[in-house]
Amino acid sequence: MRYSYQSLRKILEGEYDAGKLENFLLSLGLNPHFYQADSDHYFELEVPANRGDLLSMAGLAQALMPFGDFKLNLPETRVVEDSTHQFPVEISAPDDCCFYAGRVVENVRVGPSPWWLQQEVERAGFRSINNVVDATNYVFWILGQPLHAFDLGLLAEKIVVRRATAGETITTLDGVKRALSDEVLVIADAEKSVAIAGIMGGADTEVTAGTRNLFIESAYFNPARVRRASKALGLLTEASQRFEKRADFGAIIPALDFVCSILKQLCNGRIGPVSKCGCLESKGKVINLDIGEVGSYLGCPVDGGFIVSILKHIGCRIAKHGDSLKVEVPISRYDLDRKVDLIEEVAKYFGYDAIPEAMPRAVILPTPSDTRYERIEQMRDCLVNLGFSEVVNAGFLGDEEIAPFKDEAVEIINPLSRNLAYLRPSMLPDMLRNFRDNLAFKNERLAFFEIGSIFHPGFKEEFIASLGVMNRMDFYAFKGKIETFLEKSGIDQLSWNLGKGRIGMSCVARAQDVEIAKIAMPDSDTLKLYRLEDEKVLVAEIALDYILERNVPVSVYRKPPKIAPIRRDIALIVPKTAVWNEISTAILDLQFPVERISVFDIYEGKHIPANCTGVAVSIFFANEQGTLTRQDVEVFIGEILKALKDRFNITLRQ
Amino acid sequence: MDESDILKELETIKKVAEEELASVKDASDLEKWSVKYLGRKGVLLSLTRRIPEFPVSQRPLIGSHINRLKTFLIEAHDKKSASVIQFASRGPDLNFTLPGIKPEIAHYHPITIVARRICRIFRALGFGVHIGPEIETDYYNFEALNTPSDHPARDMWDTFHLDTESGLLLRTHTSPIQVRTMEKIKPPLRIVAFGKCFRRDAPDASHSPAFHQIEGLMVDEGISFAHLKGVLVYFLKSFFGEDIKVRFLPSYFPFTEPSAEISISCVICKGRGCSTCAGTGWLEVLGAGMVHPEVFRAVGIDLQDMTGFAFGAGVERIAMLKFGIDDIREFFFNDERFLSQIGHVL
Repeated sequence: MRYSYQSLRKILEGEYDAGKLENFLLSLGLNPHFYQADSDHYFELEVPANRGDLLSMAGLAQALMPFGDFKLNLPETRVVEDSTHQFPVEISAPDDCCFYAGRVVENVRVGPSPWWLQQEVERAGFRSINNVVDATNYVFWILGQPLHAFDLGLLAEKIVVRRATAGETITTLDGVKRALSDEVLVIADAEKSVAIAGIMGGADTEVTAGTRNLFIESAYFNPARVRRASKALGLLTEASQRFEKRADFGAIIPALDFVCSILKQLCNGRIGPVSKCGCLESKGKVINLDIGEVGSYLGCPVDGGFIVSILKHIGCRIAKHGDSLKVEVPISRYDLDRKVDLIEEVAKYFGYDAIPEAMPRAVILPTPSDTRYERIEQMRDCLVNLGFSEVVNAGFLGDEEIAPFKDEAVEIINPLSRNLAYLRPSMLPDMLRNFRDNLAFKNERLAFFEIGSIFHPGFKEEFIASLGVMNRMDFYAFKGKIETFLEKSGIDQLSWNLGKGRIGMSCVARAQDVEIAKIAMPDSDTLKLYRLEDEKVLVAEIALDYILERNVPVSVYRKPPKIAPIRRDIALIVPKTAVWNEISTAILDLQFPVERISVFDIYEGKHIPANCTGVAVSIFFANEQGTLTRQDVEVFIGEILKALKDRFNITLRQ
Repeated sequence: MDESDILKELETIKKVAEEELASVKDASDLEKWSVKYLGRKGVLLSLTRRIPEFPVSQRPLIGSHINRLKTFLIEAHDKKSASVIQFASRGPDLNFTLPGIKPEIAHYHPITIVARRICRIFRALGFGVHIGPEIETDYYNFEALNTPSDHPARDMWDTFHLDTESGLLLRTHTSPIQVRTMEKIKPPLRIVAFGKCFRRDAPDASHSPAFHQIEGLMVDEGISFAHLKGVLVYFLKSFFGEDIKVRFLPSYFPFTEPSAEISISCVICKGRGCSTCAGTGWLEVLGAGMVHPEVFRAVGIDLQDMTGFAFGAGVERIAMLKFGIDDIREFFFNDERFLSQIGHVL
């Protein structure tokens, strides 16, 4: 809505200029935006959702009253009736419309508005149309009550406020034919719907140059009903926005009278009595407030006289008994519903900047953090320490990216675009896209991780980490980092096996049959989709929920043996079918005093048969007595090599 | 052996030593030469040890010849040594001016960096950090926060819907975490909540359909609006610097009353007015307010003496102001050159 400084001056008399006005509005938190045109200052405001009362010049003037010694100069709204013509109205949807009123205005001559009305309507930001429409718009602007004028000659028998029936249509004033549903409240006559209640009138009953008699509507429509209908029809109007924020009970009849008095003056129309249906609340809510409560809630003393004065100026009636106030709020201020609302109102005029800053006094009892959060942060540290940089993605996928995961995708009902239509069921597409985007800028060697949520059918959310490397390390180095991360997270005893992957061959780690981690080697189609055909890319996902659900692993110190071990390095040629866990178990099963076994190099290619892998292993031997000799170790190694040869066909590299 | 033989021998040693020294090129050659002639098992000492072989009368003369040779060798060595060291500084094995090979270090995402910094400030005040699900119910995201359905305030958050029947949606703010935490932990309490949120805003330089929020809640006996101001001014000065100014203005949120919008003096132009602050000199950084009684009622907290304040901020916006990032989309593009720039200021 557009406000005019010049028009405001007529309603709010007192000493202020546009600059002061801007400061008042700023201090109320309305973020005014001023601009000058046609020797006037216009401004727009950010009116909060609960302040429908500010959507009128009169309402704004009332809110400015506490800022100075101002006089509120509202227009005279009374009208003298000079006809007995009434048009019957009835409400068949009382939940959607609790009060409906109207007057017949006879014998009007529709034509251009006089200069003063044209000027006011244009100040309000409306286009001047004719005297009847301009008068309703003007009154709407001043008092905030949307009005509608029908050509009475085109209405059949009576007005009925009812829900639309399925299949019903109406052509609205903007010339659009609209299909209605039973979500929509309409104004109908005995035969047809003639307006969408609170949103827009119908073209069939529009006031035209030939109109002689009018029926002017002023009503209260349920905010939720107007909001739903407006959303369902995709039709947002000044009137609908006003009704959504609850029309002012107190303005319905005055607005009707005011517009009729203007029409009487402009075109000598004869005014009939009010026809109405339903009833109106006429009194505002009464709230009890202790003066001391304001101070203790705001944290500084606030003078009782100041509180009373502010509340009176915004239109409250106050009965004071010592320090306790009985405050009857104006009917237009339905946002003033309880004590804290009054305190906020006082605080706004007191000035937030006038309230001091103070640190709270509290018992030293810190609120514990979510242990999940603490552990997630440690995981983040661990992954950064392992050399992975953190990325963050929005988490939406498009049609193309979702394709391999389509059957487990969760679709958003109202996505922004097809590119952002799905919640990610995997973080791998995001990781690959990040690589693609980096490659475009020649960032070619990358190691990334992301921690976050993925989503599964049934709207299940899973917390995972994804990791990815591009041209940075080989499979075994990548796997080693993942294993280290899992070890640090308290997961050992993993078995790694070939698994199915949606974007290529994958390698799956399970702990007690639960899938913990998955390393994927993207296939050529996937690499092509992300333009990574020429890069060495590996990606992985780790199921963090499983780790987070387990107890935090407790670190227990194990004193390292005092005896220095004897180390033997052996280079083995291991067939690709052999399983490492079984190999290491086989070595330990020989019951030699093996302290530990560690793999220090893995190589494939030159000098190694194609179906084998070269694995360089250090075996450390030590017994408690420290009596091992080199000869003993030679014997052990001999036995170990024999066992490995017999069981796995593993040979020593010559 | 008589006197003249030994004198001849000394002459020869002197000549050879001189020749050898001439061919010394570096410090290690010089060291070898020095060991050979001047060392403990060197030529000079072995000559000295031979003095007793000569008749007593000849010994002083031979001794003085050996001493002269010694002086000569030491002087020659020192002279050479100076030139060898000079040589070393002109062209050694290493070029100290070349840059070292940089390790490939890893970085935290700027969102993590900023969120952690904010959390650290509040943790020092006894606030615990909490998280929650990204898929939320209508109840936690709106209803429990005094925003019933069909309330026009819902327009403040354009929402992604997942399931109409169950009312599941992507959370539009981290406020549901407050509700969930208050259901579990009864006041007094102090928490900050952090996480990714979603709003149906078309992406541009200042909007992203996904973004991160951090928010806080303190509930205790006698908490007042002055406390809200005290804690938030403390936080903003700790984060942005002591020299900023902080402005509180009325605002509207369904879940706080009174509500406030909090701005800091523009960090770019120091309040004079520039494009970042749209000429106002102020940057809005936080929304806040006293917790609405309806929110306490929804989580079953008896209002007797307890009051509280809550606040929330967009993590990307704070990071943009702190580091001078001008486009929110950069946070989700994950360009290595973006990540590594902010990464070192953890």
